[in-house]
Amino acid sequence: MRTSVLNILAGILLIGLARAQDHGVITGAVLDERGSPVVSAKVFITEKGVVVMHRVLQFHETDADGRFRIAHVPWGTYVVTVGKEGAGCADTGLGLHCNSVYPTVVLTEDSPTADVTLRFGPKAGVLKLEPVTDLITGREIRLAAIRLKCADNPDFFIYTSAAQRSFLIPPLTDVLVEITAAGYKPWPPPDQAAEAKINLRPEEVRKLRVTLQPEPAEVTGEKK
Amino acid sequence: MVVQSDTIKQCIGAHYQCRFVSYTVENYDNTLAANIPIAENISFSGYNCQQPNPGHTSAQCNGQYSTDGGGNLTDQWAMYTGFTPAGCGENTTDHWQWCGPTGNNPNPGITFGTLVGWRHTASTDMNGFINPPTPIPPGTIISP
Repeated sequence: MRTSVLNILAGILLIGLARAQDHGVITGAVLDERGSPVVSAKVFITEKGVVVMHRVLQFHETDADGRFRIAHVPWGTYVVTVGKEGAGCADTGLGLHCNSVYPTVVLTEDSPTADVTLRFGPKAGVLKLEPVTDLITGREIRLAAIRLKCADNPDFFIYTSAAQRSFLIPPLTDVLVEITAAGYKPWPPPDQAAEAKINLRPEEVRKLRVTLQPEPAEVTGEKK
Repeated sequence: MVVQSDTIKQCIGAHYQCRFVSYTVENYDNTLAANIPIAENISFSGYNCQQPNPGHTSAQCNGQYSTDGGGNLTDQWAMYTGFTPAGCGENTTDHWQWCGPTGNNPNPGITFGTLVGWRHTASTDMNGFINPPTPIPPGTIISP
């Protein structure tokens, strides 16, 4: 009798524990454009539509077979992204991509595991930016910034330091370049707009040299 | 820690703009501090938007946060895109710390980078770099 009661209590406890488990596992593979596994790619998941004002991105690296496993993921809908420094693909990680759709997975009590395949590629073009300089003095403007924007969908953009110098450009896609710095007129001026629209083939390298014209000094003081 | 990139783009999975800043953590002898457990001692103040604050997460000394094999870490700061009134937001002070070998809390005196600034609806400030318009150039050192 005592054993039966203990068994029932243990059963209740196990059911309770099972219900208390409100998380699952996301597994998957990362493949390159030829279908080969990508080793040491960094996978990142984020809950779709949930805004977190600050966080540290925790990446999960793929193993020697290009596979990853992320455990203890709470129920929800997740966007899965991947990147790999040096892989040369624009549509991964934090680089510029145009119209990329990230795969999503849904974890629920009825479906606690999900397996997803992520694909790299194709290879990007590369924009090599020479140091941005002052048109008058020729000095480098270290605090210049560059905005790269997909021409067909301006919601896709990156805005970063022009001192980064090398930028991956989605291939065969029109991308608009804009360079700005405090105290200078933005580039391109209207007569150089065509130069600021680039469309690169995979692995094509384009060099760009930009000089910025200082804004006229503001007139201060009162007229007498 | 040394800034590798400072980029604004759409937040992943949400129609907000986010500032992503990547760093490499280095030891005093300039070797990479690879795979070290890290945490933030972070504080927020002065939130003045009309909408409820969506909240934050931060790295804790719980075994889940570390630099990668290259000593890298990436931080994401969302702007209060669309919040009202325009220009609202909050102030932040963020001390990045190396977790100690024992216990769950960072050992005192092991802060390796401090960021002070604010985040508003259209820009964020980190140690005086207000982005937009001014991203932190790569190579900039963030001191303890």
